[in-house]
Amino acid sequence: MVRTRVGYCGGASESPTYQRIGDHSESVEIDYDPRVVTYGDLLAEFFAGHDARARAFSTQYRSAIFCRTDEERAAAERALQSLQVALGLLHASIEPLTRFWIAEDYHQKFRLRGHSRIAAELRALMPDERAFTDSTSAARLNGWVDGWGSAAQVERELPLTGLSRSAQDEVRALAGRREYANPLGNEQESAHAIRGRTYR
Amino acid sequence: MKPQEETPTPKLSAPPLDLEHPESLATATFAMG
Repeated sequence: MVRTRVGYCGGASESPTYQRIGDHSESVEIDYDPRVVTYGDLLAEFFAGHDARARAFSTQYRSAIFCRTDEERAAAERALQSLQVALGLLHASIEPLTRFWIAEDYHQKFRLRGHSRIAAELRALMPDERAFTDSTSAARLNGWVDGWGSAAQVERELPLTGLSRSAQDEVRALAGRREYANPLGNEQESAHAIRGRTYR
Repeated sequence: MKPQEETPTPKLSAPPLDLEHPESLATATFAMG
């Protein structure tokens, strides 16, 4: 995973905002290196990251996979069918991507912004807010301060974020508090892991 | 006459982690409840 950004997707209304989201859903875009992570890996994380068994309360908070290609659609359908065998009906919609509208700056890297000293240090290295949103370091830190990340990843990558030693120490104390499984390579394993981790 | 050399644009500092991008990336989009 190289970059992330949050925004609005799946609807028809123009220029959605948080206050006027219209028929869009809150969404995330992930730029990734396909030599390192496969689309199947991301699908496994998608299903592990929320409970798609529950019907959405609203369009804003529904579960959806927005596909760019026929290959993505086929992979998404395979993953959904395989998981439904194990877990029962899942309310995840698979649909073609129309347009992703990036959300307002204050929604980007929301967890990191909650740690203002760390966020300010990183922001000072960036020319503008868009660079902050698109920063790999910001994406990693956003997860680490929220308790994600393996010890190995934090040790390898935290020194490369440009943060001061004291800010790095602050991040180390926050990272890795959550159980984290690496993305899994096949749907069979994913179904097993998801059943064990999230869908108890 | 020798053309005047352009002043190099100062390089913005960026975290090393941000500079390790490969050439081609793929993008995935999800709504997660």
